[in-house]
Amino acid sequence: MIEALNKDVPYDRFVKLQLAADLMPGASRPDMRALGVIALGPQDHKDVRLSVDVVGTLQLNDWDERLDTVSRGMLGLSVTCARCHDHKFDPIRQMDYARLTSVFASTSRALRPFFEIDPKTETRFMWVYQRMFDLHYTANLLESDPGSKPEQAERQVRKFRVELAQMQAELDAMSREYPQIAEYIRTVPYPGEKPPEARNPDGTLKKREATPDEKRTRPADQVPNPERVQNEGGGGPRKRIDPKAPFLNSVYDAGVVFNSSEPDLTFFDATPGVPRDLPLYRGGNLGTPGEPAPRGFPLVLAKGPSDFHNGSGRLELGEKIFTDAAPLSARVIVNRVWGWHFDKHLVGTPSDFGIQGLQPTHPELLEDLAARFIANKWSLKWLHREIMLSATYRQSSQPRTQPMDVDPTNQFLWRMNPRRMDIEAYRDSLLQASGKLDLTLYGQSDDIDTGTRRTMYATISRSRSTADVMKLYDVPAPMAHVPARQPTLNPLQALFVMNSGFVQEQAAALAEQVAAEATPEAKIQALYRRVFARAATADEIALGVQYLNAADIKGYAQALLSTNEVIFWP
Amino acid sequence: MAIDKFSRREALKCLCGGVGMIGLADLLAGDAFAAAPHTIGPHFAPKAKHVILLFMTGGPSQVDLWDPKPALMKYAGQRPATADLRTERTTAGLMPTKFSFSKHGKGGVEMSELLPNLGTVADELCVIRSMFTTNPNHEQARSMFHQGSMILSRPSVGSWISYGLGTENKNLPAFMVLAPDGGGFTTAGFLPAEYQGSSFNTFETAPDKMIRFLRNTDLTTDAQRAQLDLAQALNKKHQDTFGQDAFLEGRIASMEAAFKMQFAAMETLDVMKEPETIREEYGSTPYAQGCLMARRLVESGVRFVVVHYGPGQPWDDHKEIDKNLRDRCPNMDKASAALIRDLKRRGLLDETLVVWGGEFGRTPVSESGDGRDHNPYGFSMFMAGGGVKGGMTYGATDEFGFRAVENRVSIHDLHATILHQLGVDHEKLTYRYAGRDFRLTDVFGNVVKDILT
Repeated sequence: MIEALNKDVPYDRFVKLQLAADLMPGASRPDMRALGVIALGPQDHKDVRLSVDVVGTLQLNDWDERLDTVSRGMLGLSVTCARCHDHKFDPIRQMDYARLTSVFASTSRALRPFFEIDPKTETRFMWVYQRMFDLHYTANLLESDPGSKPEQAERQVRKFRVELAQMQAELDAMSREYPQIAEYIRTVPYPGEKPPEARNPDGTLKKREATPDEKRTRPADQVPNPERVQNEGGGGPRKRIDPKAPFLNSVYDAGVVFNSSEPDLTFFDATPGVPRDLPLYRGGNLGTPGEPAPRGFPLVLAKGPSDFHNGSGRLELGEKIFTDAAPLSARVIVNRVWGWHFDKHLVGTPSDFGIQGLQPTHPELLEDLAARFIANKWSLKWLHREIMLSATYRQSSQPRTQPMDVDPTNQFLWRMNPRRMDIEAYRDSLLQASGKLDLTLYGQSDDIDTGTRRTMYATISRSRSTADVMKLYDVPAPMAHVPARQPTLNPLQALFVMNSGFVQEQAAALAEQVAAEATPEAKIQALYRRVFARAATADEIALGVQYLNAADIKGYAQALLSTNEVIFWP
Repeated sequence: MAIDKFSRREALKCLCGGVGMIGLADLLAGDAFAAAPHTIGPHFAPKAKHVILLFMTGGPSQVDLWDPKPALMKYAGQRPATADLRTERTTAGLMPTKFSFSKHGKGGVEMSELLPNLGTVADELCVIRSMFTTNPNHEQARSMFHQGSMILSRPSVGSWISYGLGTENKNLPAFMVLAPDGGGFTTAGFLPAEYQGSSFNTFETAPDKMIRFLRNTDLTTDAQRAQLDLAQALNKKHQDTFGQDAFLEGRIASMEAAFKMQFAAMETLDVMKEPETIREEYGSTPYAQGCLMARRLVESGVRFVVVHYGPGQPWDDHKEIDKNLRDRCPNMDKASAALIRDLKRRGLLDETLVVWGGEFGRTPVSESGDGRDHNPYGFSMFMAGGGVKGGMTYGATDEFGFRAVENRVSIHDLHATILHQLGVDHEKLTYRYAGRDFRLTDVFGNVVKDILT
């Protein structure tokens, strides 16, 4: 994503790659990485031993989340309000909801090779691997816990093992041409199994050694919060892909069919190349299917025919968003970018442009920027430049009595809004001041409790809690679309600044850097340049010298790092 | 100056806008922790000020603890039609409990021999035997229990309560979760992040292990004060240069609040400050620590405390249920009863609602010979204090204890009742998100009036 933004991939293409890179003519293998957005959406654990009524509903919830992310995220429309009935406020029918859900029901999750591979083999591999994953998981589950029908469980396990052996033979054949497959199967265990490396030659389990990450020493207060190893929801078997393995968490065109033909088990079968049009579920209830809902675009937004015909319809969905619905989708992204720059959106409900949403404060401005954004080929860099080079953006944010009197909320933008840094910019600033910021571009995410990479590379996982410092500074739970962060101010944030090992480390590094300066005054000046990028005033030097009479330079550096001037963005 | 035309609060609203800044107004009023504007609640005079939720992760067995079913003996090993419900795993015939039941207190509440201590406070308890939930899976049932929805991204009960009522204590969060492994379900979902729960590890008893960054390991109190004085002097100069700004003012206040909180929290959170006799009364397991801590927290004004019996999901007795219950019940029973007794002694029970339960119950039919499977159709919980009648049982399951049949209580009903005791109308506690108003109870929930004083 960072690479795409740096290269200024046009916004429409940027989104279409995330929805349908595998279906876009001319998309490259690296482009397939974008599909992770759908593949990695939250997933409810679906125990195979539950009835189809129970797990089928969980599957509907998963699709609902994807549709919500696409519709509120790209179109500013709360389409998922129409899951059980027609939308109460906006012109979205329940049938529109169902037709869009069919797109996701025609899309299966898969492990996709990240190397060049013949398309037929690729599809077959994706199907076989997922089937093997499910069967291994189920067989291991029934073996370790046969329940109260052990004979039935044993029979099922035997049957699954036969099927698994056949599919393993098929994988072996593929591996002759693509050895990466065999290597992956060898090193990544199926759920409920241990990797071969974890076993001694006699089959017993080896004692596990700490990974290099685990060996990294941490200051006492940076031991991961126990909460972070706890699922905040979800759970169940997951594919944990070694980031270095040449495979991606991905999706492909294959319908998802509920299969309860095995007694006491429910599977989700994938049907490659065959889409799955769901019925409209009356009342949103799986038990009351209504008329069929063929894949298609909401009627109110479609110009001309609204049906999708090409496979799952993901690519057609992407195209419709940026053709038929372009006037809306352009306004939605322009409004978001404006909000990021000005700390206040033109439309105060950035994910709801419906009747219930707020009216734009500057409708003509939004319209003009959106039109020129499209004319400039959906270039986000153009949009940033257009906004940041404007006279409006370049105003001072200092309060002035007279306009404050007339327009206290700054609705008419008579000044720049004073802002505060978000945690990404704030943590980066602290590391930059101390000279420790790791500016490495791209690659894996990093544990920001211990690492020094830019904060936007922080690992954010749905199955583990977000890093404390990010939660403290308003990073929302990553389980669902959130229109915008809600900034808060509380003493726990101040405790981080005053007491955390992280801030103390930056203070110590700063102290070291100015150690060579001869006098307290010179040390103070050097620190001001590093922390504030300006010279200290005579008053500030006097305060510093007075403090340093009874304290050390590290304590002084920390005091500077904790000031408002560091986090405030006038 | 023109700014003087606004009240401070108005000026804050104007200058910052947005719900996230509401907390700022309270900061400046001297409250360290953000409280919601008190226009949401309470809607009427509350019976309870605090809630302690004792959560038995995994789903404890109702037929072995709270809901005696002689018919299980009569039909042992058989599978009558009403007991033929599909649960998560395959199950066999009906399995009678190994534990004897007797009546306790003036109200004659029937309880298992595994709960002798809770028996002594039976007249404080209202045992609800007719709970039911919607999903036999731990994750979804827990999500329903703690967030009122199977959908994983919804706000927790405690977040709704802090959003609705704010906090009483200036130095502590309104919503705390105590668990040996985090416990989870602290999320504020779509509510502003300030309403998220703070979770503390009950394996740790030292307060500075419980609140992140609570103590400064580098400086003495005096040295830290001097450092803060310097920072605040620089902050004031900076603000004079820039001019009036709510964020700058608020952050200065929050630094002061944090400084004080370091000492206040050390005091409140330190269970070792309790006399030995009290600590012995509770016991020394993480759950017992959690119960004792919960009492200290509500005493200090925290609104909503969840104590998880963990780690993991210990009450998930698919196998060897008798042995497991014999191991687990004594310390659970001792600590839970000690909490109720202790709250009563301090006159806190009237204003503190204690709720005990798990995400679902267990089947009266056996699983794998000597275990019980998940049962969402019927299970038991108890409530105590906070305006709930004691010494009574409410509702009933069928003759085998499988399905709630009489005076059925859903999780939404439970939530509606909890909110009601806090003076909050569950239908009026709403938050606008994704184009509509959301509620903890969705479009459901009836207050269980029959159990209220």
